Amino acid sequence: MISTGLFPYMLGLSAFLFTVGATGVLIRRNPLVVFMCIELMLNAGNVALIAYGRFLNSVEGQIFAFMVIIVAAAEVVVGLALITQIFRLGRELDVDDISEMSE
Amino acid sequence: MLSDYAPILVFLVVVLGFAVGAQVASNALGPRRPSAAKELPYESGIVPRESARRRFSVSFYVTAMLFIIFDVESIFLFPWATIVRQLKIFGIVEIAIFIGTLLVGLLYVWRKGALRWD
Amino acid sequence: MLAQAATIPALVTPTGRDLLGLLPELILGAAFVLLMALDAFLPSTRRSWLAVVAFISLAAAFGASMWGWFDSGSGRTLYFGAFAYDRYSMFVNAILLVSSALVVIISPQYLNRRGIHHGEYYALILASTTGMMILAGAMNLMVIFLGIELLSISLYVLSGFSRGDERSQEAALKYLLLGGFASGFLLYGMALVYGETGHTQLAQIGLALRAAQTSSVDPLVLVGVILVFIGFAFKVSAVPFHTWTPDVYQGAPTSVTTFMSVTTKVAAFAALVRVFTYTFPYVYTHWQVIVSLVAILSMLVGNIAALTQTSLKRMLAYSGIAQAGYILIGVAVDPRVALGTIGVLYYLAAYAVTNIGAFAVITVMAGRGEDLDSYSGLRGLAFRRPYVAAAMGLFLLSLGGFPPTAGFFGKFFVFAAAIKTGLTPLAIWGIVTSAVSVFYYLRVALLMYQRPAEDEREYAWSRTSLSAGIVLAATTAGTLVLGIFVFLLYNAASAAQSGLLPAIASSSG
Repeated sequence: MISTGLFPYMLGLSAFLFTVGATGVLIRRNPLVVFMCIELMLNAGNVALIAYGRFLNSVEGQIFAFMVIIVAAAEVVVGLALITQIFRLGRELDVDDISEMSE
Repeated sequence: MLSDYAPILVFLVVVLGFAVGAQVASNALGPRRPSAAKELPYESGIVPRESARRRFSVSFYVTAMLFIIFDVESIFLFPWATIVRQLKIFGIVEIAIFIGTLLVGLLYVWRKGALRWD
Repeated sequence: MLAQAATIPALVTPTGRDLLGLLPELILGAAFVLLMALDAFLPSTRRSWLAVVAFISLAAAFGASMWGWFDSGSGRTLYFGAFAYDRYSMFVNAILLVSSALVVIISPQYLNRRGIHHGEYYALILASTTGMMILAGAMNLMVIFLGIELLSISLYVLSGFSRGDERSQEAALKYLLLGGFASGFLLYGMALVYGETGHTQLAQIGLALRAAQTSSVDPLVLVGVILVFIGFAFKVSAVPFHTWTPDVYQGAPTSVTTFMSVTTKVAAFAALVRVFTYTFPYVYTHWQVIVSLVAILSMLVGNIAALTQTSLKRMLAYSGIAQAGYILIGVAVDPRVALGTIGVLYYLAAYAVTNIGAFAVITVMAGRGEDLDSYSGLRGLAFRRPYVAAAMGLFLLSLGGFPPTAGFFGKFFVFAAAIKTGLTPLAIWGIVTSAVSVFYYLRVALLMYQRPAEDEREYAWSRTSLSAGIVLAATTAGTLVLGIFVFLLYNAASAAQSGLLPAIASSSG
């Protein structure tokens, strides 16, 4: 049980996580780390959803978070499969180096 | 009109300030006395025997990915289980379709040979 | 002080009417599961059966959508307001299903030639189409999110379908990373909209915004609205969220590019209109500037960048970015004016037939092993394959907006809507940039009618097969019919608009 007084802090936490995730996607080079940052953004959304759900006394936020967890898992699996495949094809894993195609 | 957006600006400044501030503060204030024991991945834990940086067989990844998917999908069973009595026959049919779909996925994975270890 | 446990709503179960209204999506979903099972157990020599099963299920879903068009009448909601059963979603379903069916027809030949004919292809196309149809009918933030993710995750895998090809893998990873980034924005925006209005159902969000309008709008709602728009802008590849588009379109197998260039835009715009024009009309003044700005930038950057390309797929990718800009004009007009939505629907239908046609030409003409991608590969096509070249010329004219083709009326309706609502600068900007686009479309069209130089090797085009003939004939006919018998589709689009849910603001004229 959380007290409603904590609500602003939870929202602040989610905003902080979201900012860290978005910044990470923009500045990090390793696709795995970029991927983790995307997960961080999605989980920031989850924290916000659950905090709001608690605050509003509505169950929708929690259901939404459930759905997001499933979607994030599916995305992780596809992403890991792709990264493994690129690695198998013998490529350096650096998002800036992934530029087989030119302008 | 524009003043409506002032809280957002304050919000952004505080968030960014905290993100940058925490990094700067920990670098500036924290004492640094490195020693061999502190460099261990798990300080005060089990002493590692060899480097963790070696390649794993790709089979681990395939199994891990399959595990994630089927494991996470099963979280839907928990909310279902709490109200299965009230849902009566509808709940049974619904979860049967859900598990049936997952089962087809598992059959597919099995037939494609992703479960073979060698 | 402890918060109370969340109030749990009374248990409700869907009725037969709900399931029946969802028939097109259910057919495709079941067909997807069936295809996966078939692929696991059928011997690999029977791959073409899977294409037939996929085509039949798409046709069945199309039939169900047509039945839904007549049955839904003035529209109602399914699943307690979470899903729309209206003519608008049936109209969009029809575009999506026809596009997917055309792609399924041209795929087996192309995939065989590239040596990547695996059964999962059809299952993934169906899964993606299901996601798009869910997105088109979604009336709840969760359903929108699930629809968008189902369509995206299937497309990530499809873009990387050529497993041994580095460019295809690269395209898939880029698409996945940027798509995931966009999903993060979309989700956070949805969380804010849900939190500040207290609802996830679009109808209730709209009512909450209407009630709030009398006092003042919560700034966090506006942040949410803008984040949701950014998420959608990624999916429709509008500037400045377009950077993935050329690389992904070029790297993905051409039949996949054909599929996603059209269907993703159609589905995402359908949801964008439902969410912005019909759910957020009471904060219109806040989002209109941003949508207009993104439209202006897309038209500029898309057309200018397309001028300098030498790759057909990249040129069509930038052209698609520019087209997204034109369609966004229809979203940016005042929600009270129905012509904006009608224009968007008309444009989407016209864009679907034309763009599938243009991409189908480079898919079916591709020789063994290598894709037909460079401009020089088209040189002299008119002398060897005159009908194909004529069809390609027509598609390019339609993309450029010449009468009497489908593309002209698509542009005409959105520009007319913009002028009617006082957004004349947007319309003028659209006309100016269309004029620029004529250069690069005509350049490609003329190339087909030039003889190759003496020392130049002619591209080894594939023979025109029956499946290619069917698709090109259908898209050519579609491009001409939508350009000549305009009122056939205009009336349908107008009927689709009039029953659009959620009906929060009253619209006129």
